[in-house]
Amino acid sequence: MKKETLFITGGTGMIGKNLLPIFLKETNFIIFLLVHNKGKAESTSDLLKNFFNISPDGEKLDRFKIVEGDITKQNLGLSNKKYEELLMETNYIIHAGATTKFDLPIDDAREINVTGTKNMLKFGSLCSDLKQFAFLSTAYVAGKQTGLIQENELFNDAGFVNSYEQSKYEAEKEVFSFSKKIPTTIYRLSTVLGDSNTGEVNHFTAPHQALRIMYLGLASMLPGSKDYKIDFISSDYTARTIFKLFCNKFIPSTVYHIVSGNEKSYSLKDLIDKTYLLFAKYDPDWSLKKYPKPVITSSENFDLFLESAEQTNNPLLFSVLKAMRHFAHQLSYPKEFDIMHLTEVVPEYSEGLPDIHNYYEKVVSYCLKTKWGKISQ
Amino acid sequence: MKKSLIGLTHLSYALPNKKYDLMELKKGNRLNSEIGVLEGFGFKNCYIVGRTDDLHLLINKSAKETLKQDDRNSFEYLFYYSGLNTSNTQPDKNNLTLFNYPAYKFHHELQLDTNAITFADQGCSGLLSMINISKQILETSQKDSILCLVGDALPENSNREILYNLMSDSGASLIVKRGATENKIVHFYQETQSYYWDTENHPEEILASYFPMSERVITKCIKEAGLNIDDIKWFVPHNVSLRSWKILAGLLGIPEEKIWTKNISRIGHTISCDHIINLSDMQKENLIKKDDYVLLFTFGFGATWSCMILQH
Repeated sequence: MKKETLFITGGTGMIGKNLLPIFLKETNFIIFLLVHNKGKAESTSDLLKNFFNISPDGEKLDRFKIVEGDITKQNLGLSNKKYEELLMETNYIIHAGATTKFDLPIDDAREINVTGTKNMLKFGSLCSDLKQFAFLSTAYVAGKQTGLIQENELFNDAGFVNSYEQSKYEAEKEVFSFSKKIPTTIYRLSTVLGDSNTGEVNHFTAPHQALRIMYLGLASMLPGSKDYKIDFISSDYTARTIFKLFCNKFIPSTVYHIVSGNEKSYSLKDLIDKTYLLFAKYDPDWSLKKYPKPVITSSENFDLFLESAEQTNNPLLFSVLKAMRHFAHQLSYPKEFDIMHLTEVVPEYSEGLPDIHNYYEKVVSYCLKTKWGKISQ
Repeated sequence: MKKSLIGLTHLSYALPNKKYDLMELKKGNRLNSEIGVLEGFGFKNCYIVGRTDDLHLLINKSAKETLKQDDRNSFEYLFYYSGLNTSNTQPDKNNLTLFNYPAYKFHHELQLDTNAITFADQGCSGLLSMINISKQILETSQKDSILCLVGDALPENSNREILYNLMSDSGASLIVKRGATENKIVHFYQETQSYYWDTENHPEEILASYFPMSERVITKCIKEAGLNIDDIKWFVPHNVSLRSWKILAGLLGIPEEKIWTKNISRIGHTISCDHIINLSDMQKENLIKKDDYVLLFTFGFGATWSCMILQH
């Protein structure tokens, strides 16, 4: 019997790194991994061993194939022959490839997140036997909306905090528009923090940079309210949940929120307090500096501070604040995410969901030990 | 909180004759930032002494004005403070010039019978600390008052901008007096973060910590005084950028109108004299009424955040 084929983009990303080994170990899929830049030295065997931490035995090595391409290019940057070959072979697609930078100009973010998604949808629509097209998105396509956000809702008249949110929203529109042609599903993820067991962070994104800014004593203020709940998810449990959603019960045209919810989240104030306690615990020299905690203030006041830093042309402070600008404003738009669809398919989701209160310390410790990825573990 | 009967009287200050606007300073290559930036931060003019030695004349002038109205024999001490670290004086061959103290020079010129002490090393926070120490001494002293002199002048031809603030030279004086009928000291609160002692190595960290520390120190001072922030009629600033006060007003949740910012554009920041200058001008304009609570706040490199509440 012919083995089925999964074509995955973004497989080396924060979720992909956890997701791909699960598929490789727990299914018989032949897996094509589209990578933007394969790297000359990295063989398939090395990639499995060094990056995915999988022993490259013959069977897995046979089922794992790297394809060098580019989602923003026509035919995904592949030769016609390779493109045609993949169209014939592919049965499942997980499109996780994206830029997760919050500070890109919107056109640059669109190029990767919208054009890339359109190209993947086109590819999916041309596949001869496609059974599922899964798109990894963000819960923050809700942008500046507040209150309860429903899973199948894709409407936003409130605007967005950054180009990442906006480009993902626009990409979802593309996915919705294809949902009558191909069997699509969307997984909207909350902010991925790290591995709940080890604290490992394989991609340091905006929240990790915020931690670093606090560690450097450069966090002056944050917009939002003390009680705002910061929703983080762990990379391992999220990957496991996606796998279950993908394999257990596929319902076309369904959107799933993969989030932690308020009960398993820190408030903004508690998160800051906990972070400072952990920095002091793991780096006693740091605590001697007695950096003050950032003040929580209004968006307007935060903007005034940013504007001042920009005007003063202080390169370090401005670059730090500029980095914060593109995510910190989300803290001013409190929201909760409905997970009805998710719990219908994965009823045990909430029960097994790692509690940030239990693994946050591991992530902070990992950030400190690796100096935010500069030193390998 | 027990209200003190020790307060501030006979406030006086003197500015150099020569005033410079931003354009003149920029032409003279004495600013780091563009004019538009400093204008946006609320600055217009600054006053600069002709020679650094002229600072002495300014302080002397304001001290004489202060002493006109008071019994010069009632002082427990003459206290002197200058916020700049000028300890790199070159000694003479016998090292005796290392013992030339401005406080004694003022003492001699003013013909006082008391003792003189110089305070040091609190940057722009020195005045409020000196007032607080004066209060504590007077609480157990047989005498009724302490004369406080302050003044700063940046080195000749130096840059007139420090971390985006326009700097003036000035001298000022006041008396901390038992039985004062105005400006009674209600409470003082201060926090020191000495990690920032080598200022030149921490400009960004200092800028980042300025606001959270300022908010914390002001809030704590008001709380320890047994007051609510709404009880404060006036916030008397150190004359750093207007923008920073707008941001701090936002953090504190107070209307900007409660911060008396007129002298930020008129004079700029004088290191140690701002509160005497501002309080003095506010009193001249009759802005502070009897029983009004007035909050003085400042930050000094080193670093120290200081807050004092007075009741008029």
